[in-house]
Amino acid sequence: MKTRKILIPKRNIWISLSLIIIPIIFLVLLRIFNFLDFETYGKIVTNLIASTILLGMLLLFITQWTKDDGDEMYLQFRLISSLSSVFFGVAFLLVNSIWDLVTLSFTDFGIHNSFFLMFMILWWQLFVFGSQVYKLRKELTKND
Amino acid sequence: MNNKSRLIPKSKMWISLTIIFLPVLILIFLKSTDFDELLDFSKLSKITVSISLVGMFLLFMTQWTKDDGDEMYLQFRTIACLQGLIYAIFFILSMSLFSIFDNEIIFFESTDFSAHSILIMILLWMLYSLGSNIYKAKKELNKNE
Repeated sequence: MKTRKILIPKRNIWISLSLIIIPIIFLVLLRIFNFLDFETYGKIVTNLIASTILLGMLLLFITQWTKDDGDEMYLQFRLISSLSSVFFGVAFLLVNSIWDLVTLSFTDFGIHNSFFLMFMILWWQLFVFGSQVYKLRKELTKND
Repeated sequence: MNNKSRLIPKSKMWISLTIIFLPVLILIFLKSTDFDELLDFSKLSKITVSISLVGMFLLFMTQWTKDDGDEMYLQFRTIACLQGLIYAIFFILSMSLFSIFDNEIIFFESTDFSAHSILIMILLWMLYSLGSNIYKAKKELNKNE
């Protein structure tokens, strides 16, 4: 099937995982050895690391998890998780904006940062997709 | 089909359009009549953008054609959603890369995009991608007829 070709084979999952884990380890090491100077280049480095992690999360989302991953049911799972993640992002911003208006200086926490939002969106997307695949697997083993 | 019942009928499209444009018009009105001095304008604009985002999402979930809801449109929506997210991630990544070459660290201030602007870009891209796919499918159908 055409969709199957777009997906990344499960044996290449190490690429996605290393794109997520290596930048985090790198960031922790930089922080431990106080290499991050936030007045000059520290912010640029953290932004780059955050972008790489986001890329890794996206690759994890388009990994072929099961043998029949790529058919219409999985397409629908991916659609539901993508739509719910965008909806989650919109609702999250709306609630925060209202909260921001009611209370004072909530924005200082950096909740309106684009990296934070993208991280939340992708996290939600992976969670919804993963839970749907898990439920299906459970159902299938029950029937067997 | 099950998917069709989830979509918003085209006859109710005015709701999405009102949710998008009405808050923006109110914000412009407040700005032009100097009402904004009494209110915290940045906080008000955040709520306005958030409401407009809800409207854009509803527009994405509108049933555009009679057969909208079948597998082809499902695939269109999935492609649009994924493209929107890929676009946003690459946008953030390229902006971060650009900021490396900015020696005076002036530009990197603007790479700190607000969450609202990134979500607007995602939803705009999603709407554009879905719209162009539906337009192409319609054109193909007309050609075959």
